[in-house]
Amino acid sequence: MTVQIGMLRYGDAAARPVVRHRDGHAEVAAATPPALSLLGALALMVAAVGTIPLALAAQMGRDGNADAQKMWWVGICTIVVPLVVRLCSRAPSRAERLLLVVALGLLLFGPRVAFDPVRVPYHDELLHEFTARSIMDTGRLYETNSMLPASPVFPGLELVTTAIANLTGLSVPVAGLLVVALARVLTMAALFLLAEQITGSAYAGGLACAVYAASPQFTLWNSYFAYESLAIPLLVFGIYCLMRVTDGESTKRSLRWSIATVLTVGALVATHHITAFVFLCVVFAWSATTFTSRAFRRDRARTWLIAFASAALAVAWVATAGRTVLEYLRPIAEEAVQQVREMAEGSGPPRKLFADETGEKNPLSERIVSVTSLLLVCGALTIAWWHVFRTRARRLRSTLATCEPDTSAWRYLLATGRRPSAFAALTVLSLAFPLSYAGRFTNATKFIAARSASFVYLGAAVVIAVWLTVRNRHKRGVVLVVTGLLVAYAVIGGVAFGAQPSYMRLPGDYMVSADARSVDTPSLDAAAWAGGNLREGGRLSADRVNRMLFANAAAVHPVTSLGDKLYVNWLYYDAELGPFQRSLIRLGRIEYVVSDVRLTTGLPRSGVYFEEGEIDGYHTDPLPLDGVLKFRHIEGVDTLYDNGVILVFDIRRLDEGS
Amino acid sequence: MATSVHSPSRALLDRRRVVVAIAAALVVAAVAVGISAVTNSVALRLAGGVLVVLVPGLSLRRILRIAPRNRSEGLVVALGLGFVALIVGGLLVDLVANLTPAGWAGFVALLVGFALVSARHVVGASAPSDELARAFPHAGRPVDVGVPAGLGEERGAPRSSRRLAVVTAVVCVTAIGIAIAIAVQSAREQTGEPFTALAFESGGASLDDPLGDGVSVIVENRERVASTYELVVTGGERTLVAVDDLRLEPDERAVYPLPLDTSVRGTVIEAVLHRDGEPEPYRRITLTIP
Repeated sequence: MTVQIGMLRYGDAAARPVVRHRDGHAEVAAATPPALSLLGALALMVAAVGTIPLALAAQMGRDGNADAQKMWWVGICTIVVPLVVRLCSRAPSRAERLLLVVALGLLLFGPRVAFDPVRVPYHDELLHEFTARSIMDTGRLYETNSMLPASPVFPGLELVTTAIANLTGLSVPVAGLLVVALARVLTMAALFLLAEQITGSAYAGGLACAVYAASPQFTLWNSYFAYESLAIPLLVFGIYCLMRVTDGESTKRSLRWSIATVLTVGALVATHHITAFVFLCVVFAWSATTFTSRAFRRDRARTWLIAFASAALAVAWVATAGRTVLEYLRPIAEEAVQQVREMAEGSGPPRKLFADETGEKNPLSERIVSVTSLLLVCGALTIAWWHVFRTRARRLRSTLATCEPDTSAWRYLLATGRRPSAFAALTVLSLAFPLSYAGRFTNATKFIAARSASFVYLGAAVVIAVWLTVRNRHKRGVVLVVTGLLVAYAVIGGVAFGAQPSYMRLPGDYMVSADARSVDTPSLDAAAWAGGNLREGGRLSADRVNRMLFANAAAVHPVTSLGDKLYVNWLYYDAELGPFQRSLIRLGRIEYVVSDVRLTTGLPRSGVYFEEGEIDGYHTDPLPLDGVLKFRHIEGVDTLYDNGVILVFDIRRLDEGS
Repeated sequence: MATSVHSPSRALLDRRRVVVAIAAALVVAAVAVGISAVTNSVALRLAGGVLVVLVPGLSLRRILRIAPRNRSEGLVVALGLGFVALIVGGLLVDLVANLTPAGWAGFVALLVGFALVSARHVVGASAPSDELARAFPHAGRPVDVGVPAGLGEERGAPRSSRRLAVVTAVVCVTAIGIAIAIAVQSAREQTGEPFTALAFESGGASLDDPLGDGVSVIVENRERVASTYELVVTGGERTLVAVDDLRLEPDERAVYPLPLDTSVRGTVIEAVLHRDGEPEPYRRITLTIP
């Protein structure tokens, strides 16, 4: 038997009776909204249809149709607007909100799938494909990857991918894309639960996911088959598990969640170095916030315990398997410091904003949308911070006992004891938001800064979502629709900000050293030929894109500065093979040389033909044709393959020839 | 929610449970290995891929006796722990065995078996009413908390809602299916400039042993129109292949095995291709016979 003892209202939309059972439990009566409303269903269907323009845009891009970009934007807007506007409405049930956020995460994976659903053509994807293929071929971990030495020692993504590929027979690229799709489901669903349980509001959970989708990295970068794409969901899941450790349940339950948290940290540490470091920062910030209030005191022991356990796992991993990561990250850090210093002194090369390394800029309209949407997010975050800190100041002047839960949702968060330290930790994380954009102004830090958006937006999304939830708690109709449109605008602006340069969104004509846009049939055919004809493990010199394709297809070892401390670009400049080039070949024990004639037709879009650091500053001239083709005329060199644009030379008898 | 705790040792002594667990683990192992063998359907393999993540996740969740608050949390925890299980499990498998299909199937089966043996019941499920009672200490009078509640269990959907959900799912799957079909078709098309490839092709694993493995010369037309070629392959003083009028349709390739013997050892095999009667060589490749 149950009796109604009061009414719990949320906003003005609906009243729900609070009932108390005979055993004394109180609960809110069954929710009135249906699991899936007609408008929610319509939003989902329209958004799903939005994937068709994305696929058509890819086809148009391959055909060289100038309207491909417009079609792509039609697809993005069709996906984002209905889902986000619906999420900002008050009507959807909790189940519908969860469905909407998962759909948002999955459908914004559409641009990546539309680009190429059967291959992984992007630069970082190809690097991880090599590691995954090594595991498939050898059945062992930690095999060398000279193109990205950190990848084999952080094999989390490749482990899951090869498990699926081994057990289902899917190819490595398709298994990898499936892993990323599942990872995006985990990101959105775990973030929804996290925000929901921090605030007690499914509305806030949905909003947090919508705001997180405005992260510039969310749509494209976090869709790539790269270790961050799995590490970020593990980060969110780890934070969620930690929150469940500290949510006041019994010691036994808390212990179980603690084990889950530590296991998740273990998986995270074995997946991605920077994300593991971010988790450590969050958990230590979380632990530190427990000293700021008596309300947080009960979380103190548990959070510190998890923090030290996580740190121990990270140190143990880096000290054993992950040693190479320090060598990998140290030059990046040193270069960043150097460039910041140069920027402060006014020297050093200028950073080209909103443009690729050749200076080609995105359309003005896209730049305007990018900047205004960023300002929108910054404005919302600033106001949200102000509310957070104002409430904290007030709270310090009063006691928890005097807080009335109906005066402010911020006080409500504190007064009801609902995971307040989790909210405080995420607020601290959001404080790094300005840094992630400031870092974009130097060449060395631009990649780190861009990638950090995935982390700082987690904090920013929850803080903004809580503020918007409180702000709109009595609003209805037009205000909620306008809120939805503004959030959708922020998401679309985030897509524009992150999906640049624009030619990277869609397949099309070949471009020089432009990652996925340099992967075309001549390159793929040449790499496929290498598969049965070059010695497995043979040492190869090739440009940035071809070396990855050849390595994946033929299991050869590309000679690189990261793996072998040699810059092979010097083999391609001079018309003659001088003593310096010959010593380079001897030092690198180079057996095969790949020459791509197209490198002589333009400047590299990515800034380099071969790898970072190959020259000081920017290239001003394309590679010389006689430098690229000189091996054809050198005695003792065999030309094994020639398709007009790509030539493969066997130089093992070079010394015999000379 | 009712809860009960049994000692794991007692569970382990339950022979029937152990037998069922072993049988289930063997079935899981067989299914895991068999997915690739029994079907070529990409859709089925993708579904199998989802299970490869979810089954270890559900097993680990059960082993840890984590009781989710509701179905959505249960699925999220299963998915998250699925990734965790595969990563941590993969690291452990690498220590003792190879990461082959059998190794992975054995690991998944072991996890499932252990989950079935060790966890008798989902213990300590947190009743939503407890949560709400704690969360809303003022539940005796009207309370405006400013935010909608959301911790309750998902309720069963009414019939009309279920029908709507089915229609929505059908429309969404159809739309996404069309999009993927377009994308796959588009990705299979040739991109970049048309070309003709001339290459040596080994009969073995590489071109390192041409006399032992055998070598062919291949001409592949990747132009968008048919072309006519002239191919001459020489080795030292000998003409190994001479084709005057080689006409290849788009995407057609011609393969010419070279009649090599020890007499060509130390010589350079040269293949020269002319196209459409042009006097200048169109492609030229060389291979030294060691």
